[in-house]
Amino acid sequence: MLLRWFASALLMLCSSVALADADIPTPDELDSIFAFRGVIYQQDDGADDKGGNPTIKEDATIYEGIWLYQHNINEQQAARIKFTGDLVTAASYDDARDKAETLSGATGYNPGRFNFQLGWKYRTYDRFTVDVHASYGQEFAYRSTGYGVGFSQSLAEESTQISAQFQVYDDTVRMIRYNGAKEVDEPRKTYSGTLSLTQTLAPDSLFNLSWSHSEQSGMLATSFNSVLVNDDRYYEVTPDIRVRDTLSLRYKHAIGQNSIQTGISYYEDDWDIRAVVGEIRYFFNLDDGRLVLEPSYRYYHQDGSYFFATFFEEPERYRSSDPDLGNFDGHSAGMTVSKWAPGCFTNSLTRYDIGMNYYRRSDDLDFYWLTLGWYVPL
Amino acid sequence: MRLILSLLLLSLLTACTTVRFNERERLAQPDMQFDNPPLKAEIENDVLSAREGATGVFSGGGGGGCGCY
Repeated sequence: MLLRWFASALLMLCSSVALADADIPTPDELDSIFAFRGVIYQQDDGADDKGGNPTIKEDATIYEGIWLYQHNINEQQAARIKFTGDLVTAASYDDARDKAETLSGATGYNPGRFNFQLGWKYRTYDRFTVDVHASYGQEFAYRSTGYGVGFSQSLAEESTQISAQFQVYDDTVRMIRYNGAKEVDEPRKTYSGTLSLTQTLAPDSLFNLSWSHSEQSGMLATSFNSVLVNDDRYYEVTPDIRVRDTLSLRYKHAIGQNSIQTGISYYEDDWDIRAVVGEIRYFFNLDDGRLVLEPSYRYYHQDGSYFFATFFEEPERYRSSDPDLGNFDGHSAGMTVSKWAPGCFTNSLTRYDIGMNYYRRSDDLDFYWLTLGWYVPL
Repeated sequence: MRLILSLLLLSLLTACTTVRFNERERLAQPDMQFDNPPLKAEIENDVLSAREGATGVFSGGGGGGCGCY
């Protein structure tokens, strides 16, 4: 009865503020907004665990939700709060957790994962923006504290945007091993920076160019991963420093009411991983843009790390059998359907979307994910 | 890498283009913004960076902050 009353009240509220012919709002970085996005992720290791590394169980299911609320304080400032929560079921993770609890009594930081972020933006009248944020998160064998600052400047009547973002993570790895053993927690530090240029080329086209550089140090292996040396299992060991660089270029072009987005990216690091990414998205705008169909395709090629192998004949100094550090090609295809419709609690149109993506990997460790999105300009 | 650097140089040559406010109607629409709406690109990057060795692709961060590589 209470539920029925609540549903009726909600329906009345929605219909009372419905503006079917309202315009789709033009987004601004200081707008008051509420956004939610959920994902259901499923990874299939195949029959007899043959996908990826055949000696490791790699099935996984993850449910993740992100809630974002940004409040426009005045015409120059906005503050935001963001919460991320995950429920994780992964074979390697569950195995380590169960053994830790029974063999060493060790417990993780958190059964799933959560992350909490606070942020603030300030924009001057000559379009210079400063964005600062701090975050804290925990997962089973990981704890993270992050700080970030970003600067951007809009020039030439908004035709050019240049930005620089810097991020520091001061993290702790809980050293729970695949066999349930527990060692002293280890630190991991990450310093990263991204420079970006977005340039309008014509009234119907623009591009974005970005360079990301990061340096990591400390315990960079996954504590509960293992490798097979002959018939014995050993811990995964990686170098304690990693330097990573990525260069990306994206281009957007309007084709009448529709538009196309393409992108290429090149990545390399000092673990000898090299990757090339190509992506294409098409936006079919129907019903004056209130209904958008977005098919996408992405190609990923990775040359693996120098210390990756499926099996080892002797315990090398550095060793990993995690297929995510190995050689593979990936093809992913997806479709997102978005609908702008009269929403609750606001006079603006609200965006709802649902998306499905399938990722085919050449090492048979395929996965898919389903997303649900809700975006409310307030 | 050479191809990307060439594209980078070509891109910078165009950086003096100005499109006036009254010509920006199409560019202001949501489908002409990169990484719009908020959180869409972020959650895609979360999924992909957890399964691929690369980070920072297109709009992702440079790693750290999670128990993945």
